[in-house]
Amino acid sequence: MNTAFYTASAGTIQIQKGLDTIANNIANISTTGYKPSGVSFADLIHTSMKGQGDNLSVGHGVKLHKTDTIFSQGVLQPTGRLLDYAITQENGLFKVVSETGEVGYTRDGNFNLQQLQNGSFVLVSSHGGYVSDPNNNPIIINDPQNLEQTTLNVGVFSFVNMDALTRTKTGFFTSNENSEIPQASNIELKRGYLEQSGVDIASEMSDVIHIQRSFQMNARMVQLSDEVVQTINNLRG
Amino acid sequence: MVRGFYKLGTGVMSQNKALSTIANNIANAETTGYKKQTVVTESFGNMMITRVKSMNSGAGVQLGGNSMIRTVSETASIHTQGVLKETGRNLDVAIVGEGFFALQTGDGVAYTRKGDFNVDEDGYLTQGDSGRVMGQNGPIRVGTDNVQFDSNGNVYANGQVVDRLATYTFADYKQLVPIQDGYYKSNGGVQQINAQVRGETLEGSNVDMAQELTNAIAAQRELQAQSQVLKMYDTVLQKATTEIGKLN
Repeated sequence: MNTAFYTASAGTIQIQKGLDTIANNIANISTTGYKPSGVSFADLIHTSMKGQGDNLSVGHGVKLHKTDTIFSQGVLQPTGRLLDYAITQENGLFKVVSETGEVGYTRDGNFNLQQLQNGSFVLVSSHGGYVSDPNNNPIIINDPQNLEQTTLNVGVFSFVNMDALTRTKTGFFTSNENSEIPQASNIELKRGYLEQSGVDIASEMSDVIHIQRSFQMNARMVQLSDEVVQTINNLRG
Repeated sequence: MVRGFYKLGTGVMSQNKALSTIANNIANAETTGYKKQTVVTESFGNMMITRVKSMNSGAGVQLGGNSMIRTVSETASIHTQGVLKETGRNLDVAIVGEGFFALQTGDGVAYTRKGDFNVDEDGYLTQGDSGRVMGQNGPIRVGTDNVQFDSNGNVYANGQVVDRLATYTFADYKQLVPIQDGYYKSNGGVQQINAQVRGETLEGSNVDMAQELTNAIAAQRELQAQSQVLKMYDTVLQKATTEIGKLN
């Protein structure tokens, strides 16, 4: 069987997925509070070329095993805007509750005000949904003209196992059984600052080059193993 | 008898198997902790060639040996150090030099050089979702993702030492059989060692792209050359079967 062909084609497909992840990191180079994903590949099952119990194993390609979020602290950029907040330590997140009650966590502290029916205002995230205070309540502002004198009690939540947080389609992180229940934390907030994206463009670009070469090599192997099949097919010309 | 026919046929098959292994090395050039494999070929069986003087002269004079078949005998993993890449992720750890991490999987203990760990729902250090990482006192429970490693393999959770990574080596690396996901099973000869590790770092594969592609091209060309000679044999046989003994 032409194992090389399928191994190399699995290589091109999976390496492409890795490139997709890196492309998304680069696309979010200017996204406030964005945390890059690291790509991890793993080899596929090894089988024996002949039968059981010999030393003739052959691997069958590669898969994108997992992507890990890298929660390193981003650079804090002063904006002077009174509704901008930045978290000063790695293991904290803002909690955002959407209108449908879904809970998401984010490092994006670029908040806005939304008027309620009773005339007062509530603090909302730039992706919608109200920002929670440490006691899981919305933050109500009665006098938006006087923000400078108002201290907003924005909640910061930390997880025992932040690494296990999953990303949602809306750009938030959500907790799951692995991350355990978040605790309100007393991590210091900086008002008037935003946390920049955690993407390091130099390392991403070098990864792109590396992974592109890897893709080319796999594509070359697809071509090469096709030529081999052609040779074998032409044995009886 | 056309001896070369079989030799060339098995040669084509061996080169094809070598190509499968090279393709797998290239596919895993970006795989953390992957160790490249190489195919060892051997000639199979040795046949004596003798000069027979006449029909009744007995054994005849021995001229030498010849093998009829070339076959792959084994695939060997080459356990050289892979490139170390700094990741900045605190749950990443790489072994510098000799050694393997041990994982407690549902299928017994597996060994790996892959150090991109996670923490599972019970607070144990895991490798992917496959197995818990073993320390000196069984699986390491950290209970938080605020984990650091020092160069001796001590695991710190929230600044406190909880355990030390258990690292192993093998008297004979041949006893290590790759399964999948960068894991190896051992057939014995396990020795515990104190491997040097580096935190926030991952070990890349030890695949040398240029080398692999050169090997691939060499294997392909060898296969093509063998198939050319095979065709010549075919022509010779064709002549033998159709032209010899023809009356006109």
